[in-house]
Amino acid sequence: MPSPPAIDAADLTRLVDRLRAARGWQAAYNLVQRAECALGTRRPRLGLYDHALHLVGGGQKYGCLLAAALRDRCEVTLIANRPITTGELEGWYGLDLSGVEVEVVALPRLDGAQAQPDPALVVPGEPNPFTPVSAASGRFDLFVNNSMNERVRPRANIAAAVCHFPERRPAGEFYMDRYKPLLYNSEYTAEWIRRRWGLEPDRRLFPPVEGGPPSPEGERQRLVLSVARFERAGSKRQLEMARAFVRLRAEFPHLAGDWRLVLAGGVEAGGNDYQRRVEEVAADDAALRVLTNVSANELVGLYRQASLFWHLCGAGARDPGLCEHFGMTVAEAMRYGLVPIVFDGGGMPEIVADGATGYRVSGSAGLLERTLELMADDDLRRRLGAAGAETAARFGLERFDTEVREIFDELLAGYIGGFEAELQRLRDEL
Amino acid sequence: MSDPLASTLAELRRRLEADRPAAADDAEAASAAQGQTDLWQLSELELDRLMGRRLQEVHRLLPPNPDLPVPRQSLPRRLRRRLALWVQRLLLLISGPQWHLNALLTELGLATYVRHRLQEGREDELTERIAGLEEEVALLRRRVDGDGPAS
Repeated sequence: MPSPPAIDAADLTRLVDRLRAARGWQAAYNLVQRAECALGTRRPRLGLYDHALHLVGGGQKYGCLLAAALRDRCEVTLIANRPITTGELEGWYGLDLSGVEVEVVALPRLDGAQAQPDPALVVPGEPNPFTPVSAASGRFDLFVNNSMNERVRPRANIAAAVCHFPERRPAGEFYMDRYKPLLYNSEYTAEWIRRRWGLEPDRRLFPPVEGGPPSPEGERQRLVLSVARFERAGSKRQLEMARAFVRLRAEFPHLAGDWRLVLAGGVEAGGNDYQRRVEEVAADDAALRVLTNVSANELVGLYRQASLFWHLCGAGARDPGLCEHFGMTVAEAMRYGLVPIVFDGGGMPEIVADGATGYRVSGSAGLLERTLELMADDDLRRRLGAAGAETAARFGLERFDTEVREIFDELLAGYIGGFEAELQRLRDEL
Repeated sequence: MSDPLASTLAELRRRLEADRPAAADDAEAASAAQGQTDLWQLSELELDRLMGRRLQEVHRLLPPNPDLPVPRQSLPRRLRRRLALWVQRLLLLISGPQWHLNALLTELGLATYVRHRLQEGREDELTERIAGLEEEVALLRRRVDGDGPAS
């Protein structure tokens, strides 16, 4: 721990006053914030914002894990736009968030019927409805935007952003260029950050994927598993997979006759039409089951029993946002030793090495062809499953925690260690 | 840390906290807010003038097919695109995402129309805008359908 810098009280007061006159209240406030950390009067304060924090989601879990990894270094506050408690978040994601606070920043201009305040619905040219979040960001030493919400202008001394996918081109107020570092979850996302935002992202931080170890071979069944939400628009392609499986069993009974397919996934209360269409296909084949909203324990049971994993999300989609940006369930399945056969798009090439840890295919025909190969060859399944489990270990929570701490320790070291140099710079400029 | 410095820091924080602005405070934000207010007021005035304060007119301008006729010829080109923006804004205030989607489609139709018919060296800008609109339409269509982003 470096000794606190020698600072003259009168000099500091003079600089704060001059800064306020020249650059406004926030600049002066930020200098005091930094002085407090550098001089050791308190721990740094970190605010992590997610406009969908009140909803269960992979991106939200990612943010909560990031907060959990940093709570021993900073006073962490989760900033939400709708009511939520740390207790609910801990229950959803199985995390320890003790010591973490939640602050709800209301957005009066976006409290409409939508499930979440949606930056996509902001019309360029109208007053920015996210200004209250921007104001809140200024009370922290570090502000982390975990929303890809490009309309939030950060006011903290350090502003970092996590981009899970750039959903829109810059339009109207766009502040993503003011975040440093700009973290991203996959190279696929990084490429679209360059193309859509014209920005060079700073560092990849794969989502943490838990699971495993692989089950012993004797416990595995002739079971193909798919885990994905039943989206109303069918973007996860369960219908195509169900039809492909029916065809597989009809045309190749000698290979596929004793295999089963389970399509597991979340769906809203009351279900939706797409899920019911998939169930209609399943009703005609006893080897095909649709399981909705299974518990975490049931899901682990399925992962431990299954041998193959299907995932066709992104097949046939023209919108790059409809491909998996990373593909957490695929990585999770690999950690349990399942062999993935996935659509060759989005973040899949970063997870599945074609022919080495699974297969990447362009659609249903390739899915059937590779599945037949694997059904016919027990040794191939064993080999690819073992290789996949080994490579997927790099997505684990321990690795995520280590990388998060590396990134933020470096930021904090510069923040605290560079304080004297910052004072000198201000003396020269003001 | 010396006590005088600690008390100085505490005093500086107390002064600043007591004087915390209610909203955007620095020069940049104030300027941006002023610009937005001007645009807002201008939009209101123009919308009132163009629409005659009649909501039915707004609805009439939103055919589900963006190629269906809208009263383009009656408006100066400069105002056609503004009109679409104001229609979007109005609809956001009065309704949900389905209307916003329709408004985006209308703007897309207008922008495409302008690109096809006017050659004033601004085609790139319009093409970019059309691409952006197409993406927003795709995104919103998924939201309207209840389908969030993948991953």
